[in-house]
Amino acid sequence: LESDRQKPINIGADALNIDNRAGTAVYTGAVEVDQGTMKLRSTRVELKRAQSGGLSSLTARGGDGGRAYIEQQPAPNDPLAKGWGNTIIYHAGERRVELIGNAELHQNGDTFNGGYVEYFLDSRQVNARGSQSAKSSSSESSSGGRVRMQLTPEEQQGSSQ
Amino acid sequence: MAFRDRLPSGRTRARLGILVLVLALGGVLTLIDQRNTLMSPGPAPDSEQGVPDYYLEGVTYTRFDDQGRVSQTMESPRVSHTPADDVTRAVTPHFTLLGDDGNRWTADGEHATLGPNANTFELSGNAVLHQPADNWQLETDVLHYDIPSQHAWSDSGAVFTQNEQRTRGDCFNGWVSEDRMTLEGNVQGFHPPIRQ
Repeated sequence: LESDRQKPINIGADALNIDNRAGTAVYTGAVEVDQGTMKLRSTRVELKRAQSGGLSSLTARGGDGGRAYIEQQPAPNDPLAKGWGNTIIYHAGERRVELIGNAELHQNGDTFNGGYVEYFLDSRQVNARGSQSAKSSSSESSSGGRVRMQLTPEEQQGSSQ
Repeated sequence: MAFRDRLPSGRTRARLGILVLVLALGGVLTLIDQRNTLMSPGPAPDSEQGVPDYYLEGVTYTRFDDQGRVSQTMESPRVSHTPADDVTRAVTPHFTLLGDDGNRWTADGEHATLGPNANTFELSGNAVLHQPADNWQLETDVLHYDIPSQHAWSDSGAVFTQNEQRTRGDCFNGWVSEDRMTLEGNVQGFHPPIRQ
């Protein structure tokens, strides 16, 4: 929901490791991140701070079946948007999600698969690419460079929900 | 009547002088008597380990590592040592813990107990560990510190705060030299909303 932005981020985990020298703060174990209707589940979540000291992004790696998972309610009457990826980066300030590696997004009856899917929570805009990212090294690219989309026609969307 | 006539006679003046002298002497003697009680030691700190063999007041205690660098300091209004268990106890101590490359953490609490060879200390009662450079702080009931390994730990619930983040865990470990720490067990983190 739009109001998610004003909500605090609560994180439950088995451990928190802070390395001031490396400038990292990492939650590990069964990590559960909640911000309003947004839920992120993973086995490892690294926090990145903005200059102001507040949270700027969370990078989740791994989870059930090897992929991190994120969901969010776009609007009160809309179905949940659900996303999976080997890595999920949630840019809290921009309300932007990057699904990287084995990326999959289910949003409003449509499905997107590829190496990289980018989803804007508020505008619900979706960008998808076959390779994981423009900058990804060859070792990371794994999805055969194709994007597969399954779009549900308007009239069916009403019946399929 | 001239001024001279109104002055007390010679004998009365002498008596007045003696009276003033006696009063002054009494004052001095009282002071001397007071000084003894002022200088005598206060009550021996109560400890189940018996009466201390010494105690110090207004203490600054500095420890050096093998290379002669200051590794730890402690300030306390009162420190006492009990021979029975070779333990030193400090009241409202303020510790400064220095890492190898200049990292500085501080630790405060209501009581500290320095172990037999003073290689470890235990801070109890609102123990607070603070890392000024990154401005994070850890609050717990009892904090332990091993000086040689510069390792701080707590087995009682601990709350870590930095900026407006608050994270609690069942136990805490921190390493001054590596400037690194962990919270483990039922970790719950709270991060405030993102300000645009």
